[in-house]
Amino acid sequence: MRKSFELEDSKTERLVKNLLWLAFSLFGLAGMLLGLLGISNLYAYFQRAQTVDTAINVVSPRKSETGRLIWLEDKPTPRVLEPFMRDQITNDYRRAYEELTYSFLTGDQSGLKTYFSDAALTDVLLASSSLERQKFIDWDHQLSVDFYSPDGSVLAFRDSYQYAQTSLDRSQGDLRIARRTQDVVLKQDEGLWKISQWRVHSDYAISQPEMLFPGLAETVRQMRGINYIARSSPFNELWPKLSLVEINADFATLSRLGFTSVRLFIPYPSPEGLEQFADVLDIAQIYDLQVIPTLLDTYTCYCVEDLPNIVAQFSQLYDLLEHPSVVLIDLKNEADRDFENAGIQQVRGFLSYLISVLQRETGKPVTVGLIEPDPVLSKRLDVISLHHYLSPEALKERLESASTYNKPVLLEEFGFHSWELKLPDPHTEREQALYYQEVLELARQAKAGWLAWTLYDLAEGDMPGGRRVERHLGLLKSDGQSKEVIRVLQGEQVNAPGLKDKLWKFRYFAAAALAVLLSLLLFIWIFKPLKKLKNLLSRKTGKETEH
Amino acid sequence: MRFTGISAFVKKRKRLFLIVLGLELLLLSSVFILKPFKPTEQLLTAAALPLVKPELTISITDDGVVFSLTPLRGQFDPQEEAKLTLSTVAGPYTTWHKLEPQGSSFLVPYVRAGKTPYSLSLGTHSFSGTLERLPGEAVTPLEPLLTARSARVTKEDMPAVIVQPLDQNGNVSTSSVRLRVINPDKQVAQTELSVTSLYSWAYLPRSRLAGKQYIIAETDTATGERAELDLLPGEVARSDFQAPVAEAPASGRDTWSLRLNLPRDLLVNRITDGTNVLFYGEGEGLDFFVTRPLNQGESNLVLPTYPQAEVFSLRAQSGNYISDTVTLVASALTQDIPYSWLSTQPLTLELGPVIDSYGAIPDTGSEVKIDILDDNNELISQLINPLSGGKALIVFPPLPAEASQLVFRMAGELIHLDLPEMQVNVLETVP
Repeated sequence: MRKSFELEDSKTERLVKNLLWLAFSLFGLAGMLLGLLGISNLYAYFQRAQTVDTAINVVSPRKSETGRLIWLEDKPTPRVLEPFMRDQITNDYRRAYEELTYSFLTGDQSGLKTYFSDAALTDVLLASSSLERQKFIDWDHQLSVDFYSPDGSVLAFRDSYQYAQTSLDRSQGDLRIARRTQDVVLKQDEGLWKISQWRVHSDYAISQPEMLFPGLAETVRQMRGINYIARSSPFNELWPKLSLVEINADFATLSRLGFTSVRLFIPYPSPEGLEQFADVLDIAQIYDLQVIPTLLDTYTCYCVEDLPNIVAQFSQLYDLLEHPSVVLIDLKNEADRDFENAGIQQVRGFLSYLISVLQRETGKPVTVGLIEPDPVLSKRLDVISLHHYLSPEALKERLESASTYNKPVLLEEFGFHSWELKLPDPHTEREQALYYQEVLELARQAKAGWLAWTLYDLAEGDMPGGRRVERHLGLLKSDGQSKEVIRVLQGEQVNAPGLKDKLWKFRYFAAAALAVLLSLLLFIWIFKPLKKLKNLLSRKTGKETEH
Repeated sequence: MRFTGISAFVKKRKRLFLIVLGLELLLLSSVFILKPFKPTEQLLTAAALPLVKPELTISITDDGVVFSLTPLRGQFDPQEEAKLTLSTVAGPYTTWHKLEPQGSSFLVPYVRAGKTPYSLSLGTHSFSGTLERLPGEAVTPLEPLLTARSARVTKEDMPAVIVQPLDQNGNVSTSSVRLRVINPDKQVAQTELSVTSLYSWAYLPRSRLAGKQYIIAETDTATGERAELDLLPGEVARSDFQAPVAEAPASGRDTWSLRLNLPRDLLVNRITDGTNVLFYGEGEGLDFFVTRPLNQGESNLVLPTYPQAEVFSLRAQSGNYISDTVTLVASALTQDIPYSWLSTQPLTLELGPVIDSYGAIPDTGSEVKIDILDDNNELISQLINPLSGGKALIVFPPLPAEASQLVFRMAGELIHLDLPEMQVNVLETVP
């Protein structure tokens, strides 16, 4: 009887135990699910916050964009548009597009009703309901009033503007930059001018102007130039610390050495001191130097929201780019380095548009500095520009490849350092001269012009990426003394370095290795008697313990 | 003990420990060794597809745009989606569509008229172009928008009517709009408006007659509600301004009566009731203005007479219109003022009984003002005595030496008495 009770007890205990386990398991499972739900909600919240943050970052700077909307001459209307009303309309119309941009980025449609009504509201609600978040950026609105009602409540105008649209996912490669012309009807409602009706008359991707540059091939072929880096203010410090005295001296040196061209870098956004660009061009003209300004230096984003400001920067430079010294405009330095991060289609579309803008507005030939000629961009360029720092043998192939586009070819950058302490590849001045001799001969054979990197060794300032080798790429030493390469530029032949020369350039490393070896030997020589002393001491200590 | 145990464990399983450590090192080093061998990213290249470029057919319907994709050879991969982007007037509109192996059609509900670039990509195939939807026929109701609810018939500029004939999708139709305008005199004016820049508009025709103007807009396929414009008469240009009671005794109790009647605008339309008329007078004692509304085509004003015999000029004004002058007369009240000196110490005068112009005696309490003046007609003091039963007994206080004359004023009458000679002269009586 007792046993059966014990059995029953143990059964009950097991049951209770199992139930407890089940309850714990269910509780744990529920906890896990809730936790997952919470984490996913938190993630969604942060994602949303990030999207809104991105949208605000895109929309906010656009409020201060210059030249985003201009009014052309009004057509005769029943009532003259009052200046204060024009300002209000400008404000409301711009805000409508800002709201649209925000809505495309975030999917938030709540603000659209403030600026759109009737058919236009239907359209913006549909378009912003796309599942794919997009960037839609507009600029260069040119408005021409068609009708302003006698009671001042209805305004009809024609608007011609440019826009860029692209998916947030750059890998989609669906960038479109176009000019759209549309009729718009605004109606005043609750103190605001709302877009009520609109209709597109034309919408075309910005096309390349048909331009011919007779003599360009010959001009490029005869280019003997330098990528200019100032000794006292190299790279990014050029414009903020620009010294016209130094520029004058350097350009005089270039002229004396027989150079015909100089390449300058203009960063985006415009740096402090860029207003002296005009003076630099005048100095170049004095020394009969052709100037190749390279725009968008240091810019790598290729973000469509930057386009309005980039075009605005260009428009401030148009007068200068039309200076007679400027023979070629380089839109971007080594754009193909940005293909991976910015997306190849994005870079191509972005630059193709800007090439057209520059060609149209300046009437000057345009190039883009590339390491490898890009088949899409090359079709739009007037000059194929190559950058090469590899062996002369590799250059030969690349020049041949570039020549297939049937456009003038410019070896826009090449160079060779003469730093004898560079490990594991030290160079002598003789090797630098020989490299130039071979490269210039290849350029001559390919009928390509060239621009060397650079005039001086750089003793001061920060180097890009902290690369010390950049300090030793000059044709002249930092104190202005000539290197051997100058002889090559003056038409002399340089012989290939012999075995003695090749070994001699390792003299510093040989000396260093010898010093290390001697140090090691010295260490061993000192360490051996010490070891003996230690052994002696340990033996002595052992004997004392035994005793 | 514990550490000893662990070291013993390690010692015992030295080989196992070494193997694990070795594997771990191998794994770690493989990360660094294999990384350089990671294949560089290749640009996407077109894979060999089982089908040649499919056929794309686009048709524009009332509900949107239908894109139909048909494989010319092979079948669509059901896993693959077509991506369509319309560059609409409101920005990019992107959609994805799964395709049936044998081909599919999908409707995009975009109905706005005008040009719309599109791009469609499917695998390595892509299509692009520009659609153009023309607006449809206008649908009922048309909604003519008047730029004002009312207008004066005499004004040069009439309000405008704006018509945007919309099709069923809210696009502004290009259908021309016929406009019928019915004036208050039932004359009908017709005009045809063409739609340009998304609107059509016209000034409304003028009418000589005030009243309602009806505006009816219609196209071949649609008609609209009747819009109404109130045509108001212009400002007063002429009127009949008169004083039915232009003369009254200067009692302060009697009244004049003024009336502005039959006001008309330039086009002889009756002026709307409620229009304000300003009556104003000029001259000493009557420098005033009063505003009265027109009621039933006239405006009346009744005002008490000035308590002194006087002649006044009054005008009426409404807007820029100013009437002719009306003359109001406050006539002398009394016909006869008998008097007699009763004594000289104190100086006592008895007036009356006074008879007014109606042949009655003035009310008891009517005041008689006596000004005591010097030789230079400067006022020395003033006495006021009431009449009682048409009479007054006036006892003068001792008068200063320079007092030389007395002036009695009563109901517009002035009586001048010289004190030394005790002669009485009526100085002036204003009719």
